[in-house]
Amino acid sequence: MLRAVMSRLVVAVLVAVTVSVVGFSLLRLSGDLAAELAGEAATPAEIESMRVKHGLDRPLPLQFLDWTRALAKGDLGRSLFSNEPVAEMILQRLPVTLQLAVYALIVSIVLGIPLGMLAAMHPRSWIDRLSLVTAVLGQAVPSFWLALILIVVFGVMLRWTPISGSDTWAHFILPTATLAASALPGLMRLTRSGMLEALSTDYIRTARAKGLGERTLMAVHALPNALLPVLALAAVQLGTLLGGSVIVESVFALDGIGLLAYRSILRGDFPVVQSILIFVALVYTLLTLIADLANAFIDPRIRLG
Amino acid sequence: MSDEVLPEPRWRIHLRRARRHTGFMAGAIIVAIAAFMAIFAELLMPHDPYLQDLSKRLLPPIWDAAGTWTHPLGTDHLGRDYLSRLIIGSRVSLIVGGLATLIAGLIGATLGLLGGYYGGRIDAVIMYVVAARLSLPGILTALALLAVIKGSLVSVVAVLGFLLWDRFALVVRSATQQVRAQDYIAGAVAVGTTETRILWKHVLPNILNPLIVVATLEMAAAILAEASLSFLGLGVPPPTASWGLLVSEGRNFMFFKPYLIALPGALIILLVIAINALGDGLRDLASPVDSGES
Amino acid sequence: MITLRFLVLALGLLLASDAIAGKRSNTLEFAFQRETDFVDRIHTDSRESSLLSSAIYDTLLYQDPATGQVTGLLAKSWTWVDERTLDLDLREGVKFHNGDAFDADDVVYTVGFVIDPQNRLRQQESSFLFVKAAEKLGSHKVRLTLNRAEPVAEFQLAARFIMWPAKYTQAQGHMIHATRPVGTGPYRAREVAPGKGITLTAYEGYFDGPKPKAKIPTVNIRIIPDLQTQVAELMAGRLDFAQDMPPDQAENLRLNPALKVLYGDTIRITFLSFDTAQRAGESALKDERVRRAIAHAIDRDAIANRLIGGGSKALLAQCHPAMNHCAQDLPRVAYDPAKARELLAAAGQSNLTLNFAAAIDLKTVAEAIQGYLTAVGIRTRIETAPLPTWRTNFLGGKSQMSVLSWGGGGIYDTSAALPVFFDGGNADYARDAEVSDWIKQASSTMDQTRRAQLFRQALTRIADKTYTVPLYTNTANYVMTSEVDYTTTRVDVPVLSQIGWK
Repeated sequence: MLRAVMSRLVVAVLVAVTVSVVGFSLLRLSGDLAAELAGEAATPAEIESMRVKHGLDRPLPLQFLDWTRALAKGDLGRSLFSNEPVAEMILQRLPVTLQLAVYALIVSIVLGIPLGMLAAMHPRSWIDRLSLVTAVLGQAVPSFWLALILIVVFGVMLRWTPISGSDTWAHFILPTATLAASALPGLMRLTRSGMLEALSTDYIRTARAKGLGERTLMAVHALPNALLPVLALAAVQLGTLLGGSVIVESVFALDGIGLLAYRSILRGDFPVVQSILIFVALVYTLLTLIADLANAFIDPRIRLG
Repeated sequence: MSDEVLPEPRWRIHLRRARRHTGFMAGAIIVAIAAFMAIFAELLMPHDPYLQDLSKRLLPPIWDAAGTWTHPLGTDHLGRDYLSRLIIGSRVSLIVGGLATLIAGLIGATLGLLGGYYGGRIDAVIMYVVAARLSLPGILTALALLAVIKGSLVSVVAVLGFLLWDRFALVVRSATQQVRAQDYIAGAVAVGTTETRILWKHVLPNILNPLIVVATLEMAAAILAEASLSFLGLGVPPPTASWGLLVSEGRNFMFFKPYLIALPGALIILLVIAINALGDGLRDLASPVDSGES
Repeated sequence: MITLRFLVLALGLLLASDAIAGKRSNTLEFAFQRETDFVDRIHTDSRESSLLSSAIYDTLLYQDPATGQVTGLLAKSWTWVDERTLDLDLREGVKFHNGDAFDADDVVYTVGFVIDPQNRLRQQESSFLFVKAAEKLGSHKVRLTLNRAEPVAEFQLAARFIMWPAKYTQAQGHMIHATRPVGTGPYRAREVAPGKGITLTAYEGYFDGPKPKAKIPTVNIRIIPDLQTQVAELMAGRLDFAQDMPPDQAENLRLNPALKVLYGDTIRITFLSFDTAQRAGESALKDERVRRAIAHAIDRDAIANRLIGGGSKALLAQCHPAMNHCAQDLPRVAYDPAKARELLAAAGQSNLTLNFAAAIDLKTVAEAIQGYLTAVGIRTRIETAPLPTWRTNFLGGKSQMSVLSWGGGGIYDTSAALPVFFDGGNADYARDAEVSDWIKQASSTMDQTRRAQLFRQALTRIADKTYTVPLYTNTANYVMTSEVDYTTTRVDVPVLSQIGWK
């Protein structure tokens, strides 16, 4: 057990390091950082002095060490566009993205789990078909397109919701719906298959044979077994949603890290892009690790091996 | 070959069963139409999709009172024929979907095969590579990479190929593990067959089914990803007509000419559903026959 | 189901009352399409910084947006001692937003800052460097000495010479004006969030001068790069004023009774810049014939009339026809694709690929030009970026071919259109020393006949060598809710403090 946990931890740390290397290379590939830092009217001599000042003339591995040292202290550098500290920019916008991701996750759990359960309990019924159609559409409808359609219908035709910005809770309605539509199918289908599997296990059959009511059966026996992997998926989904909110945020001009990343990409502001990429990757890795470990601790059937 | 592929009758069985599988047939027909459009676009298009005529900007489609059959779906903001652009758009979707899947499939299948067959350290390393890949947020990474290497059809294919191989690796790995455990592999090893030959002749054919199913899923994912990237302005560059780019261009007029976003969007959705249905169909068709044999 | 419908309805009502724009809330919701890195016109000269500067800061002199006449603003009155000496009497009792009193020290400090070449301000040469020094003659009296006679000095002083509070700026560094600007203008900046938006509140202590006092207590400027979002917000009543709406969209919006549309002339022009000087590396654009071929390949009338619309006109020369000394009788380069192909063949460039840069708001124009060039066999790779990024690349010498627009600071003189792009500085991609010299002479003599002759010479050379392809005149297209009270002026950005409610 302990060994398994250790190996998961080692992989997570390795992944974190790898992701940092990827991010660092992206920044170096994006152009001459010294020239960017020196500004648009700089002379070659000024660019060189900037290069020396920021240690950009040193060998890459040493630069990487400098950079990780700064990273460990929470110093992500400064934006080339606004000259603000990148860490501050991300922290300022994180609540918006976090809110959006959590709302979307809650919506997909609240809708997805009951729908998946009902579908499992009544195979081939209309609700099962509905869940299937939802799943198919959820996977096939591009989120940018869904976002535009929601804007046309609810923002302009019906005028129920705001369509851009992040000032009030109402601004989150359409983005949440769009994002939830992409997270819902996975959770729903996993609940359904988990339930089906649980319902066909021996001990459920035994319990049923003993005459336990269908409702008790569901609540006490089938559900917990079916839900474990769903919760693990939910944790992982949260990470995916954090990274996946870039499209939704840019269509709805929701001022979170996704929009910041998109605008920074357009501006060629790679210190920001790189930091967001690494940040999201680290959060994802952490969430996956937690999900793995939690699964292992809670579920006696899965022993990490 | 002789130990996997049965002679003629099996083909017939497959075909008969396929015909009866509605999802598979519907998917296959739609994908075939899209492929036909993409291949023979030049013959189908009423106009040159890149020919602009500013004096014919934003002409209405045929269902509008002012529409004409010269431009059945009207023209876009630069006076280019919209129907022609929709038709040629299928080419970008299928090229990106196909090639990116191919690249992803090669990377993923190789890694999965190696990990699943050899296990141990090699498997651990491969699982770590998969974990690292999974931790990178897909669209965000693709956008950042494309911003650095500049969007073009080739770079979009390459970036998506390098981002979509994880599911291939996982599925092929577990399928290989199952095959590896079979007696005949042990038998082959015992009679001194080389590893390359075992992987190529025995393992690969047996994991083809899951591979194809994953390929359809990834192709759908690649098409969606291309559309998203083009929509955000970092995918295929203008004037190339891609369905995602058409939605992006139609966006400015979406309240007054909603069909400019509705049509390309609907085509994307239709194609993605069709490819998914094709994949599901293949899985359904493949499973019972195989399970009876292996 | 009935309950569901009721819930949805209730939710809708709840949210509808949440809309914050309009007269009732007394907040003007105003959209920018482009981001700006600075809100002050000293650091950068753009439409966005012009608009914000006139709200937050005051210049020494004021150009009336309706008549074009120059009157005093922070300077009450001024007298020319001679061609190169100007004495200004400053307005007394003016206070900056932070409470500091405005006096001669602020003028001496700010002028000293803008004329210091070390500060490397954008377009510093053409906007500021005609001034040699500022000298304090009394607590509210300053003398400006000029390096040369400047025919449009008064217009220049009304353009980018906004006044900073000396003490505040010295203490905080000049970059403080990017995030916490302090001026004397009718609006004070409550919040500046780069890339997101700016909130302005009326400055109660604003003096009675030629520039109107703020009429609306709060102005909320939001950066909404997507036109479609602007349109949606306008239709949903959550935006009061949009300023860059293409006539296509504007005409559709006109059908909405809650909105009104205004078109106005500007002296902004849009043109194509070629890397003749090969600053971005070697390219076919060095060849005059290739540049001329591109000029022949583009149908400027179609772009002006069909694509831009709203009264835009095709340009004949590298300046706006309404500017003084903008010659309108130069030989016309006709739209002639066959001729273009011929020239390309003669230059041995029948298989040419060019990099083509544009700020995002000019993407459609860039695509139209791309279409024309494709038709004569020139492939282009369009690279669009937000304005600040595009500009950094352009000024950094990385542009092979760019489409750009230039407003000349609202000055009705050809000297506002030419120098920046032909003075040998970082926006000059032609690097023709003679042209630079002619323009320099024209910009420093008061003899109008001589000026006309020099500008004609420069414009003729620019056209002959096809250093640029002048495309079209820009129009100001405003869409606003019918509650808004505003009439267009000759300046291409609205004066915020003129905007009120009906």
